[in-house]
Amino acid sequence: MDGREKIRALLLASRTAAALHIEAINTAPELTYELVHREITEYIKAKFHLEDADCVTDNFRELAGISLAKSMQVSPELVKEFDLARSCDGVTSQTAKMVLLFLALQRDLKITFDPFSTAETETLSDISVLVWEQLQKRI
Amino acid sequence: MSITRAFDVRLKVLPLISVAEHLYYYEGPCRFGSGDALEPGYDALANAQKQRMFLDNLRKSAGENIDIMDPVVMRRTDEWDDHESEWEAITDAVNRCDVVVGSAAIASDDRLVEFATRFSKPLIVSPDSFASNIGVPAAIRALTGEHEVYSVWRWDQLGPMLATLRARKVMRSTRVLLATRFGSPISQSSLDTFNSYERITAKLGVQFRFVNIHELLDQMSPAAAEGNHTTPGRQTLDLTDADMAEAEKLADELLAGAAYVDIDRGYLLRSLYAYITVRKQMDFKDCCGFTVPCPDVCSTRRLNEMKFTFCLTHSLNLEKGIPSACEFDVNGVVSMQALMAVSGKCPFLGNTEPLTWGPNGEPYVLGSDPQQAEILRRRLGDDRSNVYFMQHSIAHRRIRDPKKDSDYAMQHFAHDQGFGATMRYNFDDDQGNIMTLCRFSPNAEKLMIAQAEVISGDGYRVPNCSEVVYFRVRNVDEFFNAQTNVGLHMVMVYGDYKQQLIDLAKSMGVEPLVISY
Repeated sequence: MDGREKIRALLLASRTAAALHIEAINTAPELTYELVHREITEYIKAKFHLEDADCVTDNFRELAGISLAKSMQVSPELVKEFDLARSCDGVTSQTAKMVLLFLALQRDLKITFDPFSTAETETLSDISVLVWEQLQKRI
Repeated sequence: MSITRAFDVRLKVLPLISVAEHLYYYEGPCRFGSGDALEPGYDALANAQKQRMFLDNLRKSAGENIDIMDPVVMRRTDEWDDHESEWEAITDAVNRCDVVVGSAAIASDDRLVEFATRFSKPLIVSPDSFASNIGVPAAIRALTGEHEVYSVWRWDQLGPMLATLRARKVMRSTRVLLATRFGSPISQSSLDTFNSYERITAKLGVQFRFVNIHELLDQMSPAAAEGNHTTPGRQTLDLTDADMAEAEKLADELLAGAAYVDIDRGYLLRSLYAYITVRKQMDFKDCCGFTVPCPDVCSTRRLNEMKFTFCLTHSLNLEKGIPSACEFDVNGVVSMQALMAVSGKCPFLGNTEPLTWGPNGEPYVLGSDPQQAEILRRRLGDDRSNVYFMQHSIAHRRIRDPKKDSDYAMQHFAHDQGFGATMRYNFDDDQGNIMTLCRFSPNAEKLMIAQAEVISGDGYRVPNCSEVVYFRVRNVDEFFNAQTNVGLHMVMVYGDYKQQLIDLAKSMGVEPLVISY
C-alpha cells in the first residue's frame, strides 16, 4: 500500500470507528452521563487519530495539538510554539481542528452548541458535560 | 490618607473584538478551507474560540496594575452589515476605559480603523490580529488628525506597552501642591525648575494646586478661636488633638527605631507637625505631590522661629510613594513621579555634581565626614575618574526596598540650634547597586535618563544638608554636559529602568537624553 492509500485507509477506519461511537449514543437503551463520556472520549480519539498512548492529557486543546503533531510528524511542542498553518481569519490549525470536532458532534448527534460554551471547555470531561446537557434537551 | 499615589494608579483596558461570519457555503479568493470549515456555523464556533484565546493571552500578558474590563464584541456577516447600534452599544465601555486592545482579522478589521475615527482612545492592535496588525495601524496613521494607535506582533510586547501607557496615566493623574511665597514658578534656589505651569500641564498632564506658605505655617499649631493671623475668622486645617497625638506616636516610633538619634524630641515633634499639616493640605486638595521653597521661606525667619525644616516632610512622603522635593523644585517632584511610575520604587533626590577633591584629598562636598572620605578613597583605589555625587537631606527608609524599612538614623539640620529633623540612610551598604537617574529639562522638552553605580555614602553622621551618595558614571564629561540641559537636582532609584523611562518619555512627546553606564 503506498502512502496515499495508507492515509485513505486510516481515514476510513477513523470515520468508521467514530460512527460506531455515535451510534452507541444514539441507540443506547438508557442514556447515562457515564456512557456519553465514554463514547465521546473514544469518538474524539478516533476523530483525532489518537491511540491510548497518545492521550497523555485530558486537555482538549493539547490533544488537538498532539493530533496535529502526529499528522505533520512534528513534535507537539513545535505545534504549540508556532501554531502552524493559520488562515487569514486568524484561526490556527489547532483551533480549526477543535471547531471541526464540535461541528461534527453537532451534525452527528443532531444537537446545537452555544459557541461560547464550546470555547469555555478545557477537558474531554467538559465536552462530555456539554454534549450530555444538549442530549437532555434533545430528549 | 486618601491620596492617590503613582503606585495606586491602574490602567483600564477594554478588549474590543471584531468578528465576521459567512452566511453561506462558498469558496473563492478570500475563502479557504474544505468541508465543514466552509459551512455556516463554523465561523461562530471559531470566533468563540478565538475570543477565548485572545482574552486568556491578554490577561496573561497585561502585567501589573492593569484592569481588564469585560470585552465588547462587534459582529458582521458577509452581507457587510454595519449597524450604528453596534457602535452605540460599545460607547459607554469605551468612554470608561484608558486604552483599547483590539482583535480583528480580514473582513472585520475595518472596524478598528473606523473606531479610530469615532473615539480618541489609544488603540493597540493585538498579535492575534495577524496581518491586520500591520494594515490597521498604517491605515489609522494615515487618517486626518491625531490618532493614537500601536501594534504588537508578540504577546510579550503588550505588557511593556501597557506599562508605558499606565505610567503616562500616572503623570496625567498627578496634582502637585505648591506652597508658595512669591508669584513666580521659579524659586530663589531652583532656577532650573519648570518655567511654565501651563506648558507642563499641556505637555505632561500634571496639574498644580497652591497654598500660601504663611497660611500653611499658621496651621501648624492648634486652632485659635479668632482664626489665624493670615485668615482671621476662618476655620482652617489647624492641628487637632488627634494630629498632636499622631505626632507623638510617630516621634516615639522614629526615635525607637533609629540606629542613632541626634535630634531633640521637641524639635522632632515640630518637624512632624509640619508633615501632618502638609499631608492634611494635600488630602484636602487631592494632591499627590508636594514642594515648598527653601530660601524664599527661610528668609521670612518663620522656620527659625518655629524651629523646623521641611526635610522630614519630604522623607516621610517619599517613603509612602509620594513625590516630595525641596527648594520648590517642581521639576524634581514630577521627575520623581515619572521614576515612581515606571519603577514602583521610592526615589531619593539631591544636588548632583561631578566630584572634585580638596587640597588634602577630601571629597569636595558639604560636610564630608573624614571616615567616609577614607571609605570612598579606599573603594575608588587608584581610579578616581568619573565620580559623581548626589546630596540632600531627604533620605528615607524605603530607598532600598519600597516595601520594607531599612535601618536609618535621626539627625538634625540646623547646626547652631539643632532643629530640623532629618532622616539618615547609610549608602555604604549599597556599594555596586545600579541606579537609574532622571530629570526633565525646565521646559519638559527633554528627559535626561542616566545610569550609574553606587560607590559609598557620606554625611550619615553629619548634621545639615549632608546626606550623600557617591557613584560612578560612564563618563563624567558626558554626564555633566547632558545634565546642563536639565538641572541640578536629579532623582534616583535602584535598578535598571532606562528603557521604561525612554518609552514613557516618547509616549509624552518628550525627547529622551540617555546616558548609559
